[in-house]
Amino acid sequence: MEDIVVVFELDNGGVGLLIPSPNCGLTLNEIISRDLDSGTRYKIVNRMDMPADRSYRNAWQVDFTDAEVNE
Amino acid sequence: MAINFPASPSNGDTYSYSGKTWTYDGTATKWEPTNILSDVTATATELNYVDGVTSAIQTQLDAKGTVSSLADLSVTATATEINYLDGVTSAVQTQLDAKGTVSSLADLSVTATATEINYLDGVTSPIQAQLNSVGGGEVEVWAYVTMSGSTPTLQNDVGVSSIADQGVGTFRVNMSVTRTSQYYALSGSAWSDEFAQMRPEATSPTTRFWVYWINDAGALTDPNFSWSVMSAGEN
Repeated sequence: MEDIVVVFELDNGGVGLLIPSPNCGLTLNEIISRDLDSGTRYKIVNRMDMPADRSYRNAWQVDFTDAEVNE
Repeated sequence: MAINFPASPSNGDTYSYSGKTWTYDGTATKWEPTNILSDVTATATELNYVDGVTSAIQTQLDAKGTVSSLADLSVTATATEINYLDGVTSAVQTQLDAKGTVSSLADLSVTATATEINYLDGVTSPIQAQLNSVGGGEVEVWAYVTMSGSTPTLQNDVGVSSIADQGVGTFRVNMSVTRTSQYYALSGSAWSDEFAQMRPEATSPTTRFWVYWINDAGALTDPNFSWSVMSAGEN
């Protein structure tokens, strides 16, 4: 789970990153279910696929068209 | 009992006595028994089964004794136990030896002692989950976050299910435990003069709180930093 980042859509249209805890005893799906608000669109990505640079962090954009939706 | 054959018989003469018949062979000048095997029903093959027998067969059989149970063979194992060997295809000991020796925890690469392992006796569900659900105390929630590259890394976390990076200088800590208290302590470090603030989430003050990095001008900032948070216990 250390290599996983959940990219999710913020209310303001920005991009949030959910960093799951590998030690909490919960599965990734359980973490997503409880820590993302209901109706939030998200994608599970590999940490290695994240941008190397945090510059313009608030300007990041992700296409959530085919994303999962937290129920 | 002597048999009184006729004196001066001719070749081919027969003589019967006590149910048996003999024929006189004038060439050999002796009486030969006639139909000596007439009462024998065994075939020559069956009779040849005794070829090689050196002493009374019944005596030999009796000497073998009776085998009607495993005890007659001095076997103390039960038939069930012996049947455990059903399916064995090669020497059992050889197979056991090939499994390697496990005579200590070290053989299993376990560094914990037996005493330490026995502390798990009575555990009925995942320990971490139980720890996370325990209230009270002073440090039930602990997270150490570092920023390296673009994505936060969560380490040494206790009672935290995730960290949500919400943008520049803004993080939400999601707890895996429910606290009745909303008081938390925070410590952190950054490369410059930024400082951190924290605030329980308005709608979920016991399970979520927010951390903000703010610069001297009062604006959110995104320094390279690390920080930790902990609950302050019940207040």
